[in-house]
Amino acid sequence: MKSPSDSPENGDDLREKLIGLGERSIRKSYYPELQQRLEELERFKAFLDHSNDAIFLIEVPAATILDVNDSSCRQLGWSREELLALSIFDVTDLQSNQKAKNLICAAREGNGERALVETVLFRRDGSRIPAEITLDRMVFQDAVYAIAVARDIEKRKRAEEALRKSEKQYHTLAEASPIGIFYTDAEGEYRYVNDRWMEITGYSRYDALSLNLAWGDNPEDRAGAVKEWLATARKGHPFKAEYYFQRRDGRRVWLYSQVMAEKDDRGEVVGYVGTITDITDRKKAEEELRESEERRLRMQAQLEFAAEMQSKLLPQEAPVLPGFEIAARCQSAYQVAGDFYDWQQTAPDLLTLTLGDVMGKGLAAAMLMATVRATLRAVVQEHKPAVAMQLAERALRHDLDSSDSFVTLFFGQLDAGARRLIYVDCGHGLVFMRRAAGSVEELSTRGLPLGVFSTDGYQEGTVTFGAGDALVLYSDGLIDALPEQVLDHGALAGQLAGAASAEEMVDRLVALVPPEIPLPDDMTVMVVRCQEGN
Amino acid sequence: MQGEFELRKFVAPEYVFGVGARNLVGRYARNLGGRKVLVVSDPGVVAAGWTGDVTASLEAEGLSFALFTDVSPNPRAEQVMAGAERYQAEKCNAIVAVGGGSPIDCAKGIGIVSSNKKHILLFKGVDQVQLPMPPLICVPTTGGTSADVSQFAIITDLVERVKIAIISKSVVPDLALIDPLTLTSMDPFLTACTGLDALTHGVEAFVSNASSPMTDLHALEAIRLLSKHLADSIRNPRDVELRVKIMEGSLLAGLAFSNAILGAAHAMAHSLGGEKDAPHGECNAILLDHVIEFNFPASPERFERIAEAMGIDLRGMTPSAKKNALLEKVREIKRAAGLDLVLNRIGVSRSDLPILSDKALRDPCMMTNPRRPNRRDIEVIYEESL
Repeated sequence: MKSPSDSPENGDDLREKLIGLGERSIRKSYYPELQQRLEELERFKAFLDHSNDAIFLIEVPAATILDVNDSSCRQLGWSREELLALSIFDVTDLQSNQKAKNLICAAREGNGERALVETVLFRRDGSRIPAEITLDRMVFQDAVYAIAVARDIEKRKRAEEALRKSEKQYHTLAEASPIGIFYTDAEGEYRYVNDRWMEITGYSRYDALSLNLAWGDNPEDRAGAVKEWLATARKGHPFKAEYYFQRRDGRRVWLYSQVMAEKDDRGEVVGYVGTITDITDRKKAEEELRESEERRLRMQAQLEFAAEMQSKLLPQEAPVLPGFEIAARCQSAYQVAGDFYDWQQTAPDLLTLTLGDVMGKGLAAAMLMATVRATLRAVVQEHKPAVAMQLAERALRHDLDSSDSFVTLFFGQLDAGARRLIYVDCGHGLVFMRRAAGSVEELSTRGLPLGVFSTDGYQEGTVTFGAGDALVLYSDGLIDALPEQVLDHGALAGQLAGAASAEEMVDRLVALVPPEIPLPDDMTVMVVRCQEGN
Repeated sequence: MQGEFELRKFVAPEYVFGVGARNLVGRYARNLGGRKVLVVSDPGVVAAGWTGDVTASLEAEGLSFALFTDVSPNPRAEQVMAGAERYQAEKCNAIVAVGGGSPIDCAKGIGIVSSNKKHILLFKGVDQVQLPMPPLICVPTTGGTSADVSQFAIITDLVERVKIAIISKSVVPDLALIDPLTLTSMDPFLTACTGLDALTHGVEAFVSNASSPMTDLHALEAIRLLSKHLADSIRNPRDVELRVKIMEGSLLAGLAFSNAILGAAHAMAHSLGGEKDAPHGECNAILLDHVIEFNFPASPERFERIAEAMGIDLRGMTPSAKKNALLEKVREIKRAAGLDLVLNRIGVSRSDLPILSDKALRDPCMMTNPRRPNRRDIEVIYEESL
């Protein structure tokens, strides 16, 4: 009568269990579960006891302490038994807080009511601990309780005090600062500005709160500028800018601003700290300087052009005159000179020579010099020197008069064949003949400079050349450059001893002035030398 | 199969037996740590007034309670889950069941779910309950199920149309307050059904292959009391003395079967109950003599002792005469109780037999049947009962 489908082992196994002989069979017992729950509870209690917070379970509305954790005992110095005989008002100052008092003493039911109270804890030894207490009402098994979790905030209080002090110092520092200081939030909205900031911008502290960082004076540009600023500052780079700012009163000022992002511990930008300085005056000065520099450069360009022009007015090549060699050089104190020299070959062996010095130097002198040169060129070809000077004087008189100027001038007509020079000295005088042997011979015939009115005409003088003789002409620039030396004609002539050519003589005289010395005046030297071979 | 030295366990709850026991609910609920009690009952028991007595007792002790009466015969998994939800919502911490097998099994289910937080159907089988349920006090009001002292909770799975058995020593209630007075409100039919259920418990526990001297004592005395007084009790529903006898018999049968377990009659009745939602006592009554007939050859001497307990004088009888005498006695008891019925009455037809037999073979109670049946055997027993 056995069922082939039933496995006897399985059946027997099930039967064993049915009659209570299974492995897990036991009549109802809460103990294993109870033990587990108790262990959880123990663990929870240990967890509460290790808390730094003092935790009190308070009976409502009697305010008596029903339970405490170890931390309460440690912090207050009472034993657990002592605390359980006390009211929460015996160990805290919650009595003086109406909300806390209500929460603990109001008999009506209420779950979830909560209060955060700053109060003090009374230790057994009479000392006090500043504390923050979180109070909660709760209903447990139909009874109403309050739970107080007290945290010692003495350290926090001290830190707060220190922080307050330091903040005050910073505040004072910021207010005393000669530069404008501001602080904005992450969006650029102003949160703090110092007094100087208000002076610079004309905005009040209250106004500032409704402002964003204002860039330039064009409202449309602000958004873009702020964006650029945020982008730069976010990367952690300090941002510096000079910009035009429209003050509240409409006046526009130049500001120099430096901004740095302030970041929190996670590196998120929480705000920006910045300074502003009013640089309007500096900007103005810079502008003026720039303009004057521009003018100067323009002038410089003109002067250079004039100088180039002037240099072209000087003879470009030495004349070819039988038996004579002629050399000259003109160095101007500025770009352009009032000195000049000139020569013109009027016949194969006839040459006119001029060395002039317009009073003064620079551009004004140069302009006159050009006029004088042109005038002379016009008259010397057809006339004898004295007449030529007369004509020139007449032509120039008006111009020289109106410019309150005059010109000293040595003009000569050299007849190479006759080795004779006919000259007119119009107040110049800086000329001598160095004879081949080294002796000096003055050219004594003198007249007045052009531009100094006189009814007397100009006297012609004559000087003849022997072989090796050299006529030396120069302007006062040469001697003025070396004021400490006594450079009379003898001394100058002495410098020329042994010089083999007119060119060399010019070189030697020019070389008297070291190149590093700035010329106080234009300096011109001309040498006319009679060659020795003739 | 049985040996002298096999292991046996005997678990019984604390119980108080006697008229007025129901009024001790408040005191014991308090002693068990109850603060708020879920009272599980059904509308019939509430109408009879027994539930009111119990809640009054709780109130007298100052205990608050929540009443849960949405319990049908053959309690359903959904009802258990709804009750557990109620238990949770009302923040209860103890359960009192007042009624017959249905409220008590439902209360056991609610307790299991409340502690273990899982669906009741997941506890099907033996020793599947991990955490002990909350304190459970049972006040039985029928003299039959003995769920108040047993390790069984039978719950109906409406989806699978099957009764699942949750079996565990930890399902044995903490306390039974057995008050025979509560039986006086039962009508004759219910008295008959529950009485025959109890008698079946006694018989099956006694012939169970897991019986022991401890269960034998209870089982035989139960058989004696029930077979002697059931008919009178049905005829005299107000006779408390008779009700005491029946309640005593039911209790003893319960103690016996909770430890020795049952047999084929219960396995097959469970199958019928799940499939047809038929009253449990009625099913047992219909099947009892047919199962005895099938089992008799496996343990004739045990059945003889049952016959003796039923008051039959077997002296001089041949073995088959003894068997017939026993069967006749059982049928006589059925007739007297008005339960001389057939399965057709509860809507069972021949075509139902294969599936009924399948389920019966898988029922745990089949494990302790003295004779191991095959599928055909079960079908034949069902056929005979049609």
